[in-house]
Amino acid sequence: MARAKDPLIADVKRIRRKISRRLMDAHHRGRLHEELLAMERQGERAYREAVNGSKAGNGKHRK
Amino acid sequence: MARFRFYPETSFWRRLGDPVNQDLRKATYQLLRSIKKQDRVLTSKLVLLELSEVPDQDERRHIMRRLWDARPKMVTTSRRAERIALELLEAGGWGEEGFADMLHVSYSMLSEVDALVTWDQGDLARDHTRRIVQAYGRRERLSVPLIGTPEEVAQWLGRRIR
Repeated sequence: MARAKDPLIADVKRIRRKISRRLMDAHHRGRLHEELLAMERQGERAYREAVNGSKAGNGKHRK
Repeated sequence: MARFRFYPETSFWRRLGDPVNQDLRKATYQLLRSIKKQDRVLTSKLVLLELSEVPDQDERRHIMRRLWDARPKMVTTSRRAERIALELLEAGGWGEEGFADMLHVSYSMLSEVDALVTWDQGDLARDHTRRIVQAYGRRERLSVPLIGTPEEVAQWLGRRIR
């Protein structure tokens, strides 16, 4: 994919390439879905921490 | 009742914390305010994962709270979404590093959003990608979102954001 010059986009693409490599590696091992679910849980934890300002899983996350 | 459904991908949310480009940041806020009032915002756990990698903790928290404020409907992966992303990747010839881009496209197709909003004009908001997505969507009978920058999306909707 083309490289962006905007530093913000460049950083988004850097992160996305890293995620893509990890997922494609899992895909070649037949574990894409499981790996993506695990990565999603990681993202969700970070989100909860950011919006609650405390540790994940404390029950304060909005339903 | 929501008029349109939007899937802003990670670059949209990141722009809300952009300390450098004030004009694009302002345009992003303006579109977000507009769609929060009358439309539906969708996001995915992949967006959350990408935002979790923002190095600055204050910036990360700021962005994620803006996302929270938009009361987004959360999209989770599925085997079908992953298959579509793999097929789009092959159709566009982007190579394996483009897989996460195509997951965002796949989620927006399966969620039947009206627009995938992005600041990524190098890969997503460009004619080549739009053509591939449109052809694939038509062939597979899937909903095809508009893919554009906040400015393009505002223009399509007839809304002023600048």
